[in-house]
Amino acid sequence: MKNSRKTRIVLSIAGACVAVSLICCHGCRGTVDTETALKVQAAQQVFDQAQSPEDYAKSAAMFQEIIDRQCPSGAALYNLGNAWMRAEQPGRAVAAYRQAARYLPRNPYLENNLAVARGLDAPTASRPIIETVLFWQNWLSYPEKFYFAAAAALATFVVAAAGLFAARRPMKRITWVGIIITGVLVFSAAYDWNRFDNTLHGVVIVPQTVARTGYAASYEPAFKNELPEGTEFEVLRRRGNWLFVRLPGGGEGWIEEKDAVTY
Amino acid sequence: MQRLCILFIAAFIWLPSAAAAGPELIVEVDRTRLYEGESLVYRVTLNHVENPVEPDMTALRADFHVTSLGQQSLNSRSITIINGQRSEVVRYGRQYNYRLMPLRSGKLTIPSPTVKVDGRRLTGREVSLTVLAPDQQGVVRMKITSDRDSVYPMQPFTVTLSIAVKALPPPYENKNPVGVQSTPPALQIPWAVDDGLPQGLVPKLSDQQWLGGMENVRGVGFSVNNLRPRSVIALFEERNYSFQPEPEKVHLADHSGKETDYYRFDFRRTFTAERIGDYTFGPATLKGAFAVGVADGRPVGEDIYAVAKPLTVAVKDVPEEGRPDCYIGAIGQFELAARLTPKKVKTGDPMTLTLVLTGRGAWDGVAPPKLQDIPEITDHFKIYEATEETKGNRREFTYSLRPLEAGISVFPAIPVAYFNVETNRYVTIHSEPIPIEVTKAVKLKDRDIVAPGLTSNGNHRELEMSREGIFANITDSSQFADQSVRPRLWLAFLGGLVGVYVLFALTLGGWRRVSGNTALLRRRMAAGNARNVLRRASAEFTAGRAAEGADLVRAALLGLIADTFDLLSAGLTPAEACRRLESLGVEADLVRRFKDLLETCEGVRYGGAGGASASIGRDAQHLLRPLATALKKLKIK
Repeated sequence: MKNSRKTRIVLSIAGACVAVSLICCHGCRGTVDTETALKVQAAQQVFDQAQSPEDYAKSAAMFQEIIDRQCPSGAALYNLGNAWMRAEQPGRAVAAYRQAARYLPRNPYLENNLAVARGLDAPTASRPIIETVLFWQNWLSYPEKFYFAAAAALATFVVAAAGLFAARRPMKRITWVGIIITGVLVFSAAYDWNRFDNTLHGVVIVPQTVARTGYAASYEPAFKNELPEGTEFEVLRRRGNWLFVRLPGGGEGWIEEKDAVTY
Repeated sequence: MQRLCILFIAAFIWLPSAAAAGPELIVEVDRTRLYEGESLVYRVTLNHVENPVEPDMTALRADFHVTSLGQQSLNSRSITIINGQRSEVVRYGRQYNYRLMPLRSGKLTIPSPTVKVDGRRLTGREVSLTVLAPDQQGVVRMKITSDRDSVYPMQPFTVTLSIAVKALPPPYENKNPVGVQSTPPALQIPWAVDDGLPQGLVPKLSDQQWLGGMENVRGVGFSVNNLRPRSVIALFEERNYSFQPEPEKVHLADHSGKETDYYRFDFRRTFTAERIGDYTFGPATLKGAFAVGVADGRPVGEDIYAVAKPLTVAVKDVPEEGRPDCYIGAIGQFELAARLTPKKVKTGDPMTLTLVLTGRGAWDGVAPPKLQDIPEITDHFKIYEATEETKGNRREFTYSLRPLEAGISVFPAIPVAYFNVETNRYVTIHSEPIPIEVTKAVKLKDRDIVAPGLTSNGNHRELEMSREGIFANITDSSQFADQSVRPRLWLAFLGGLVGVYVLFALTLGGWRRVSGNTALLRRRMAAGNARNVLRRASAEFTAGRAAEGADLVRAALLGLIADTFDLLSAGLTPAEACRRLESLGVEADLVRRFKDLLETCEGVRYGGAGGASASIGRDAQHLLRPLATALKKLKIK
């Protein structure tokens, strides 16, 4: 009876650690300084008063400046995508929405806007098995995965440390479960780190571009069709002003850097 | 062409010597004498011009049909170092190439081309040409005809090049007149090869399919546009392909009006035009040797050059009469389908309507259907501008829309009209009505929404506004905080946790190991205990109680050994203690001193060494330090 009481106490402490660490992590998000708030207001004003695609492009440039100045935020990237969409540049809009989705994965408006920017029937890349297994991968935001991994690690630490004093079987089992959960969450966060920070993505921003078999205009086209605006790809190599890209379907070719935006 | 190459090389050799000269305009042609229907290559070179501009060719179009063959840059920079002397030559320029086809025979002049570059006007030279009219002859007659003078876009029409070749003189009158030549007559048909077709003109069959059906493997017939096998392993020049449509024997009047037997060969090709405009076919030319008589029983040939005058087919816009309001500019035959997602919404929710137009026809002028003009839709939905996308034989129009009221149960059919070129009339098609369900949106009061979100200063948090729904911005400035992730910091945090745990576990384990080992604890405390007892012994000696003092000294020394080796001190004799020390290799001098001191203590205890009692305490103090040090160095299991 006494032992089970101690176990309950340890588990309560571990749970409290998870809660506190999550709250702390969420609270750690930076605050918006006055200058940024003013810039957001100014960009939004230009957006609201825009009459032509050129006006929206100006608003997009202002949102881009906010992102460049103050690191990324989902809201700024989302607004940037809206501005490019209204500026009739769906390729740039797709790039912005894709980046915004890292921070706002559960925003239904973002999902709809991205679908419209890509073309509602645009082919989608097959979902990697790993993202099916880690079913929350595209549901939690990029920072949230790190928060959860850290909270799980902290809770596991508390349980494991308590287990050093009370070496009982349930405690050990809980520790092992904590280690496995932490490992999976750390892997989930590391997977995002790799696909977002260590992989260069891109989108075609001109009405059509020809992917070639080599890094010069004299090479033969790599595909029968030209790549339309909004085509997404992964950059594998860069040679001068040419990018060696892989399309979602697996096709590879060289395109000119000026025809695309990378992120 | 060879002459043009020589001219070009000569121009390049000449250019360096003229490198220091100013801007100039050089004109070259590959020939100055040609037959009507033939063409020449006309080259304009802008030399020493940094910002070249394409010359104005409008003046040539009165007498020539002008086709651009492209342009190439002549910019170059070469650096030469001879005997340390560095010289650099920089050239600028651009070449513009054209194909010119005279529109009439006689003496023609290609006017001077003019270009205005950097505020300066450059003029080239005039070129005089002699364009020979085809000979008056009755051996070969050529004509280009079409089954329709004017058509609508996507309406097929057939262009026929008829070549009538005079039948051979007797006794060969029944032989094919194009089967007796050693080399097939050379026919030039501008529309025979797909690469040369104007934009917007689509043949029913590809050039390979069309000509392939007329190919004659025995070499009888006509060569067309010098088409020949292309083989990289051919050692000798390959012969041209020969093509021969099925000949038909006809009676025609020759150039003198006399009815004569001819063999007629018809090259028919069917096209459709996707764009409105005039399409010119021709002229077509034929060069070759044809039999004109018989000498010594053998046919006698003569070189003949014949030209078929060009023909223009007008592709006109579809008629305005009877054009429905929902006509979207499509010409051909089409089908329409509609998709609407989601089908269950609340008022004001965004919906996406996709209209898919599929079929065969002209897509250039197709515009999105104007849903804004359909009252059944605008009364119930707010419509946003459409986007469009073409995929093969279909075009998709995507609209964003929002229902304005609850209770709408069906999205109405959308009418779209196109022009059917087969029936020459407009056709209106409709998409299927789509059942939907629009319910009333729940409208909360502001206080219901903002109540949980009181800020620290007590004000209601500003609500996020989605003024236009789709593509509406986030306006709550608190959401613009930095969300960047620094994975290395997180990794350091995790590593730190693991490190702290390991350190904690090691410390705890060590403490446990020490606290559970009584022998070790006794050994560690042995010297300290012995010092304490000696301190008490000194007090006894000072108080004059020598026997008690000696007992305490003995207890301190034996206790040191007992604690060090985890033995019972009560049963430990001096002799046994000395044996232990000796067996572990303690210095003999120390063991001897230890033994002497214990014996002295024994003497004092029993009253036999009264004079030594004063020094026992001091000697014990002096012995304890080296003895404790020596015991510490021992490896005791």
